[in-house]
Amino acid sequence: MARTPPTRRGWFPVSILSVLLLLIVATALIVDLAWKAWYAGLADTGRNPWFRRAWSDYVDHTPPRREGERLIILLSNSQGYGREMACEDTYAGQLRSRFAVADTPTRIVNWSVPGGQFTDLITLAAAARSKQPSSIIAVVSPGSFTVPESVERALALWVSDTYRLLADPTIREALPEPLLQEARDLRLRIDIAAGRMGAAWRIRTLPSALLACNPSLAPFFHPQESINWFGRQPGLDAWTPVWRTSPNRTFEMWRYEAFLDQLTQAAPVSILIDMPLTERVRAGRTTPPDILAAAAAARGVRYLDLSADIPDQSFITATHLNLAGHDAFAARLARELP
Amino acid sequence: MTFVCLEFAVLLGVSLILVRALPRFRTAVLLLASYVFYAYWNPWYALLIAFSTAIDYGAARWIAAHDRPRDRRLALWISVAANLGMLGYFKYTNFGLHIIHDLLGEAASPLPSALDLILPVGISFYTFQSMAYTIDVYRGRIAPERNPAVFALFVSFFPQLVAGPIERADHLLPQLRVPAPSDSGHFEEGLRLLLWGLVKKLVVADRLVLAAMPVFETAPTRGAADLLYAALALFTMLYFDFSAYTDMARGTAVLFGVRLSENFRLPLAATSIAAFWRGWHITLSTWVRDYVFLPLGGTNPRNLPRQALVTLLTMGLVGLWHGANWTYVAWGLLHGVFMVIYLLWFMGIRRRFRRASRIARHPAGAFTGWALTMALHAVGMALFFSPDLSQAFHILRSFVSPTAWMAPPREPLGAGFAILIVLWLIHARMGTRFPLERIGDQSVVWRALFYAGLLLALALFAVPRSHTFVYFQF
Repeated sequence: MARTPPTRRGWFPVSILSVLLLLIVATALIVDLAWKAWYAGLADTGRNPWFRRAWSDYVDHTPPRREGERLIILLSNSQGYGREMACEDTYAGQLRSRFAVADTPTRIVNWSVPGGQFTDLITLAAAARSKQPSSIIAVVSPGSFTVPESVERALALWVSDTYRLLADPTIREALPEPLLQEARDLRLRIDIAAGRMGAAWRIRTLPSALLACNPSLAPFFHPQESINWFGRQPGLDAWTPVWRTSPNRTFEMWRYEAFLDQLTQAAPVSILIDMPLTERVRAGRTTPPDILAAAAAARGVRYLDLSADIPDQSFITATHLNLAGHDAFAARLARELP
Repeated sequence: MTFVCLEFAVLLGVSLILVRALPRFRTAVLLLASYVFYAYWNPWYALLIAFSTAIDYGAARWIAAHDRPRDRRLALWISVAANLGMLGYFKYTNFGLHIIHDLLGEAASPLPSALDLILPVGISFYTFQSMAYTIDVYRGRIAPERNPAVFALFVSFFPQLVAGPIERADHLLPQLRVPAPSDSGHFEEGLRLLLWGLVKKLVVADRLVLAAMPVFETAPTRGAADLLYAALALFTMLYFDFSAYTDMARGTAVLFGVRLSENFRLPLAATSIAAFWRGWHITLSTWVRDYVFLPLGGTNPRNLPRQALVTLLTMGLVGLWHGANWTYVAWGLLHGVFMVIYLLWFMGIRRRFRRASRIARHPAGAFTGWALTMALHAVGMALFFSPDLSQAFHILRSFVSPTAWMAPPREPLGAGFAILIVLWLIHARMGTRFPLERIGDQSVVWRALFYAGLLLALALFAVPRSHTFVYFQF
């Protein structure tokens, strides 16, 4: 016989909801305070250690350009983040070393999002405006916009949690309407609204990302909370779950142009570098570089193709640089920067 | 629409408000919500369920209205044929064509190799439920339902429509007829079950899929230790996934004052294959017991060969019910073989030697029984989750190959097995000492702490994008 629960007066259990609400608010406040204290004490490593998560916090914790200071913001994906490279060996790290002895105090902030896609970069470019950088350098690649979206990218428009930055009205106003339309997904909107309440709601997926960094636990948290190539287990590459399907999205000019607009408005000097690639990958590009260069020139963004500077031997994968590649890239970039 | 989407939350909220505001129209509201829920996948599906409902309603009324056995049998056969025909057409046509082409080769070329059919979600569940109603009316166990709306709701009641529990008419129909009491106790119990199901699905089952499926999908390059771990993880996932659905179905139903049947009773802690089937998908196992196994004489103690044969046949059908693939049939038959072995052991050795019976009850004996049952499930999962028999055989060959056991594992087996053991212990503990129902008896603070813990687990560890429930495909 089915068990009948104890009857309680009233239809809505107000008492339990009150206690529950109190517990949730208290937890959120404690996590919020702890997170802020912890983050403030972290050494500046030059790149976000939290892979795809806590990006909005990383951006918020970047101070704006100070008086007499040169601030350079780098935007990229895993290529700019430096796949399998120590932070100081990446071209961003090497630039920091070079500029550390410059006459003008120079701060280089690497906002590259591993696995990041175009929407992440556009949002970050819009967020950069409030930091008043001297220069903004975007290093983009086929993974970002010149080939059809990969299966993983089809999962979400934002790989990182940068969409939470849309809670800031100035960033929302800066972004094009079609991109904001894409953030109408209710789940995203709930996340954005909750993010306004404090860090506790922004970083709620961080524990999963941290657990994913542990090789023993990584299989349970692969692939969406952690960047693929951290703690990846051999053999996982072959796996494409049946419920993940690609909508076969292709290059979208409006998105590229929106990105260029954000770069122009973010800093007096904006440079877009067509990320050098191996010959084989270059041969498979679907969007001719001259179209990209022309669109950039029309908006006053410097377009640089560094392919000739970086030979095939300077890559660890078809698109990621090795140490020699990062050396050469940093040297060329230092020459190009005003 | 699944239980893990916002559309469902909206449908549930609107239905609850309407049922509260318009109690006289409870049946109509729930019926409408059920058809919206089902048609959300594909509007044509609603016609199928309406067809099944009309046939069974009419057949049952006809059976009750006629005394002549021939008339009654005719109505029964029309109902059974319509339900099985519908199920067979959508679920097994392509499988049949595949078999014919395999057997006849070129001679079968006039036949298409496959039809462009989409399996309607939950068809295996509601056809069985509806068919059982007609059989029960025929057997005189229940009176036919007079109100067509109530009967239509019985067939389509949305909490349990797509993946069970497969309800019996004598249990569900009376609850649908009478307006149910609803108070804060019911409301909290329903939400508790919903929340618990969400945690099971999004925090446990979906994460086990992430860890285990890649191993199975790269089986040819894996050693036996990796495959054994993946098989046990998938079995654990299957339980958490299916029981999560059942919990959410039961929770949703409780919100409307309806109590659905229990579908699980400690299946992960079963110390024998018979105990496993007493606690796994209980509403299906009791269905096949009552409508297949017993009518075929499966419990005749004087005829052991017949018992064995009926057991094998029944389990083969259970396998086939799960899916139109030889892997499922083989999975069912494998369970059948183990049931027969258990039957022989139970009927023979255990009854003759009292000492053997004592050993079985001893903790060490129980543990051995549990380990053997788990080993069977590892073998079973190789069949259940493989796309075809060749991959399944590859995995099974690995389990008995010394060289496959020598292959170095590529999975973090220590952490993996530790997580599985913790899940099994929680399952066993909650099934015996701390059942979920007991939470309702605790003080407000303890209950709030429990719910806050579940919400925190969801916020921190739920997968960002859930995959569909495994049993939806059946």
